Amino acid sequence: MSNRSKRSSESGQNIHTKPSAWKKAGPPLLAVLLTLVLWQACTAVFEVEPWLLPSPADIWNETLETYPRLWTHTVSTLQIAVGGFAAGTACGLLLAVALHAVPKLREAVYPLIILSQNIPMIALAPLLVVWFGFGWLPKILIISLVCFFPVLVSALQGFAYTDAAMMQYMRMIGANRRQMFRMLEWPSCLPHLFSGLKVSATYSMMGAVVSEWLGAKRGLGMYIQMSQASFETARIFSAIAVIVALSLAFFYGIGLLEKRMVHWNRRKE
Amino acid sequence: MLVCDRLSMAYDNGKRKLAVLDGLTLHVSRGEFVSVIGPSGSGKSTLLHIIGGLIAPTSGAVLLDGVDISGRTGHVSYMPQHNTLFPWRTVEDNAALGLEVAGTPLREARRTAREWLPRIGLGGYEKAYPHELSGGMQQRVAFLRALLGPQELMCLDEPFGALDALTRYDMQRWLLEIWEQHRRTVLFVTHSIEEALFLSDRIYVLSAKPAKVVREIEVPFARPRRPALLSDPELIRLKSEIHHLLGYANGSPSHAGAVPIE
Repeated sequence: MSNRSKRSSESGQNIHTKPSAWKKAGPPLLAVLLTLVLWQACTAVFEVEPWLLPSPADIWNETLETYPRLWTHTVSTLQIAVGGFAAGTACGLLLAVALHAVPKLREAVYPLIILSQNIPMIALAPLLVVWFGFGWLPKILIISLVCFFPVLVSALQGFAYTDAAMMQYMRMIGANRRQMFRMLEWPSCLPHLFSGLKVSATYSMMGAVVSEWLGAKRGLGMYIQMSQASFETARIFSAIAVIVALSLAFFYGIGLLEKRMVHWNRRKE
Repeated sequence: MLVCDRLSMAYDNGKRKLAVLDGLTLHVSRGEFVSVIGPSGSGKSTLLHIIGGLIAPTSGAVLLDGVDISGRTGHVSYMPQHNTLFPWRTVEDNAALGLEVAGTPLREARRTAREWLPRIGLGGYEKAYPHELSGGMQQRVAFLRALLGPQELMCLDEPFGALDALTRYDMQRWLLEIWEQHRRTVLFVTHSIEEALFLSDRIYVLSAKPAKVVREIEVPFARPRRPALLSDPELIRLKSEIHHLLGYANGSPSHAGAVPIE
């Protein structure tokens, strides 16, 4: 028995994740592939105009042709997305820790935070443009706002769900406030925090594109608008594909980080 | 070493007062294994929380080596009833936690834990995580965590309560062996009469809520003790005596929910 449990602890990662990852990813991938084939067939059979609905092949060719320009816009969008994500999540995390440290403040502010989630942050974008113009600042701000709340709320929840018996144990043996936070509250918050970070990661790409709609010199959002104006529908699709891919990559990256930092939590999932 | 002097505890939830402890007095000498046994819901956990300083008694005092520690934490090491190992810490780091909280650098605390693990039958599990261990093994780690704490007095709160009968039996023998080698001062809370008799030097029998001591029993068996002790006629006699004190007649619980006979 001891041998078996030892072994599974050492190589458990490979045994558990690899086959199930393929099993999980297989069917949806197949579904995507079938959709693309069907799409290609429909555009051919019904002779759909390319400006209305380009075929997957059209989109692919267009992407290859416009690749250098697409890349410049992508880099620009990625820059503000990552910048906004970093700023927003850092602020959200810091505020969560501060509110957790001062319960009175948390009681006053927490209901307001929950309420404020009803404000569509994207709708604040025009306001930010009025205040800060068309530079990078309002864009970073809007992305930060969008990323800020999921992290704040999930971290606060994580702190609140710290195991009561473990806290009692720590207090009993004389742990001070800092030890309590460092040894118990912070690690037990991590799984919650990561679910917030994943939401923020996806929001950050969306926030970046929307912020560019409102006026930008570069970026995928601006590229989409330009393509729309000139009926280059295939380019809109290739920009969308890039956005989706980046969102997924971002999400997956956070997931990898989570696996490294919260490996002990895998059992519960 | 530990003296609980006329501890009373009453909760006042606005509408009515709930008395949990009623002038409870007990003491534990250095190197002694003392059990507290009482009907479930008799305030045993409240007693431990008061000794540990989590809550202050309504009246009375907790004295440790003559110093009043009522309402002050950090003076006892503790093994809780339920599994409170940290899932993100390896076995060795969990065992080292008590030392680390007391200010020992983690590296050093971990080294001490690593030296101890083979002695409690967990050699080779240093880097395992708690979820990879069985319930009994987890409780051994929790016990080691308490044992390595720098405080002399260990408070164990029904440590084997959540284990199945066979594991529990194994763990009792294991604890007996470890304790007889090291003789730390132990206050052991349980609701198993046999467990208390098998392990302890003295037993305090508590009444139902509000709890006070109904009987203090010196356990007469010499150490080291053997499992054969469990069929000793004297142990069986004491067992039925405590049964009666707890309000169980002929082994079946009375309907009043364990009313003490004084």
